[in-house]
Amino acid sequence: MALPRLLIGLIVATVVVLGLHRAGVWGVRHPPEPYPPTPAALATARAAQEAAAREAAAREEAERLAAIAQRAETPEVLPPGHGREETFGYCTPCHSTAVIRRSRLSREQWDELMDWMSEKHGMNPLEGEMREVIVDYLAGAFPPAQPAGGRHGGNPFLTD
Amino acid sequence: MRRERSIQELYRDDPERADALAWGRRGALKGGALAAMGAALGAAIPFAGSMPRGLLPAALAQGGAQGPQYIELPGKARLILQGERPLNAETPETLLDDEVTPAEKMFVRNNGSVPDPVPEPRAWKIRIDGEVNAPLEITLGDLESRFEVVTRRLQMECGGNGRAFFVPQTRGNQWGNGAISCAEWTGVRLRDLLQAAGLKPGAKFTGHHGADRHLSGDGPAISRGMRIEKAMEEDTLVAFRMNGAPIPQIHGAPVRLIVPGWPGSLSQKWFTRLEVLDKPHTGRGMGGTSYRIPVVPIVPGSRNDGADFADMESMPVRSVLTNLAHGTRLPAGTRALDLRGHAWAGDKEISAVHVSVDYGATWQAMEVKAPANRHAWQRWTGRVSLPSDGYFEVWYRATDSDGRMQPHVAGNWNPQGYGANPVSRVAILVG
Ligand code: HEC
Repeated sequence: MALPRLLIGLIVATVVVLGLHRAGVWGVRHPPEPYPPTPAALATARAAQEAAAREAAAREEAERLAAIAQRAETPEVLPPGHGREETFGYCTPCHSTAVIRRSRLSREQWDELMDWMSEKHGMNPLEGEMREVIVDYLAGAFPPAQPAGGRHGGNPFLTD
Repeated sequence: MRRERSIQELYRDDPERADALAWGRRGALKGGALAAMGAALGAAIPFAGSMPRGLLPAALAQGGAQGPQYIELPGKARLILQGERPLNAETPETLLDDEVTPAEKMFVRNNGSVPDPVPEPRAWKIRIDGEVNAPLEITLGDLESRFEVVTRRLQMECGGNGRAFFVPQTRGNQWGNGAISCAEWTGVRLRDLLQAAGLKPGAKFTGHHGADRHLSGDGPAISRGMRIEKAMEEDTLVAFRMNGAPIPQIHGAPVRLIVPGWPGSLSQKWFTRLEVLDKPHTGRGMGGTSYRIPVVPIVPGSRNDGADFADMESMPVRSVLTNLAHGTRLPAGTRALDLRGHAWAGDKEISAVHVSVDYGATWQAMEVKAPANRHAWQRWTGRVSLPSDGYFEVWYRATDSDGRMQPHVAGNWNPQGYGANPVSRVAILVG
C-alpha cells in the first residue's frame, strides 16, 4: 500500500513544483504575454499621442507669438518731438507703435483717426489740449510721404 | 549692389534732393532731371522717352529711405513685418511661387489677439442661428461625419491688399500685393449647414463670429457679414484642414470660414458662430468706411464717413510676379527674361496677363493656365526680351474675364484704402 501512496505523493509534489515554477515563484521569471492590442486600441493610443504632440506644439507656438506681441517698447521708438511721451502713453495700450510708425498722414487725417479709434475701437475720447498735443506731434512726426501737392501744386479740390 | 545701395543712400542722406530728382524741380521728369536720375540710379534708362510723367521710378518708389522690415515667426518663412501687436505680416511676391501656398508662406492678418489653442479640437462647437428653422449646434468632430467633406484650392486675400499703392497714403497695414494666398482647404460647405438648419424667408445676410478678442480686451476683435448668396455658394467652406494638415493656430485653428474671392475678413478665424440675418450685420468691421468703397468716387485725401459707400465684395483683378525680385541685378548682356507668377480676380477668372519692359509703350501677352478649380489663382508664364543693358522696370498687368485690367494708378481712393490694384512694377538692373 505504501508504493501507490508514495507514487501519488510524488506526482502531487511534481505538479506543485512545476506549477509554482511556471507561476514564477522561483526559477527564471517570464512575464505573461500581453494580449495583442486590437486595432482600435492602437488607433486610440496613436490619436492620443498625436493630440498631445499637437497641443504641445500649438502651446509653444502660442507662447512664441505672445512673446512677439508683447515685445516691450519705449517712447524712443518714436521720433523725438514735443508730445512724444503723451502719444506713446495714450496710443500703445492696445497696439504697438508699428501701426503708427507706418502711417504717413495729413494733420486732418490724423485728427479724423482719433474719432475713429474712439467710435470703433473704444479708445478714451481724446479732447482739448491733450488732443492738440498728440495730433500736432503725429502730424509733425508722420507727415504724408509724398509732398501733398505733387507736381500740380496741390489738389485743386481740397480746399480746407 | 553698390549702385543699388546708392539709391537708398541718396534718399536717406538727402531726401529733398532725391525727391527733387525724382519729381523734377517743376515736377515733370524730362531732359536734365531724367539724366540726373539716371546718374542717381547708376545706370542709363533705356526707355526714358516713354516713362509717364510724374511716375516715380520703381527703384525709388519702393523701399524709400528704409526698406521693409522682416519678421521670422515660428513655423513661418521670412515675411514682411507690418506690426507685432496686432501681429501682421506680408508674404514677399517671390515667396508666392508655389501652386499651393504652404502654411509657412501664408500672410498673417490679425485684428485682435491670437487665442490660445484648445486641448480637444474635436469638441470645438459651432452654432448656426438667427433666421433659421432649427438652430444648429455641432462639434467639429460631428461636422466631419455628418456632412460631405470637400477639398478645394481657394484664394484668400486681405481686403486691404494693395493699400500701399494709394496716393495719398491711407491708414492701415501698408500691404503691397502679398496679402494673398491660395492654399488647399478641406472642410464642409457652409450651405450644407445652412440647409440643415433651414433658411427662413427672411434669411438675407450673415454675421460671423470668432474667438479672438479685441486689442483693448473688450469684446470681439472683428465680426463681419455678407449677403446670403455668397454663403450659399459652392466654394464657401467651414474649413478644418489646410494643405491636408490641421489649420495652424495663427491661421484660425481648429476651424474657420473660407469665403474665397471676397475680403479675407469674412473668412472668420477661430470660427464659433454664424448668425443668419434679415438685414446687414452690424458687427465690428461693418459700416462706415470699413471694408467699404465709394460708389460715387470721392476726392483723394478728403474726409468721408462712408455712409454712401458699398460693402466690398468680389476682390479686384491682381497679379504677382514670383520669380524676379525687385532690385535684382542681372549679368551684362542679359537679353531675355523668363517670367512667371499668378493672377486672380475675386469671383471672376483671368483672361490675360501682359508684361511691359518699356513703361507701358508696348505690352507682350503671357500664357495663362486655367485655374485648378473655381476660385483658385491662375499661373502665368512668359518671356520678354530686353534691347540693351541698363535700368528697366518690369510692369505686369492682369485682365479679368469681364475685360477689366489692372489700372496704371490706384483709383477710387477711400479713407481706409481698399481696392488698390494698379499695374505692378519691379526694377531691375542689367550689367
Ligand atoms: C482702445 C484701444 C486703442 C487705443 C487706445 C488706440 N488705438 Fe489705434 N487702433 C486700435 C485698433 C483695434 C486698431 C485696428 C487694428 C487692426 O485692425 O489691425 C487701431 C488702428 C490704428 C491705426 C491703423 C489704422 C487702421 O485703419 O487700421 C493707427 C494709425 C492707430 N491705430 C493709431 C493710434 C493712435 C495715434 C493712438 C493714440 C492717440 C491709438 N491708435 C490708440 C485700438 C486702439
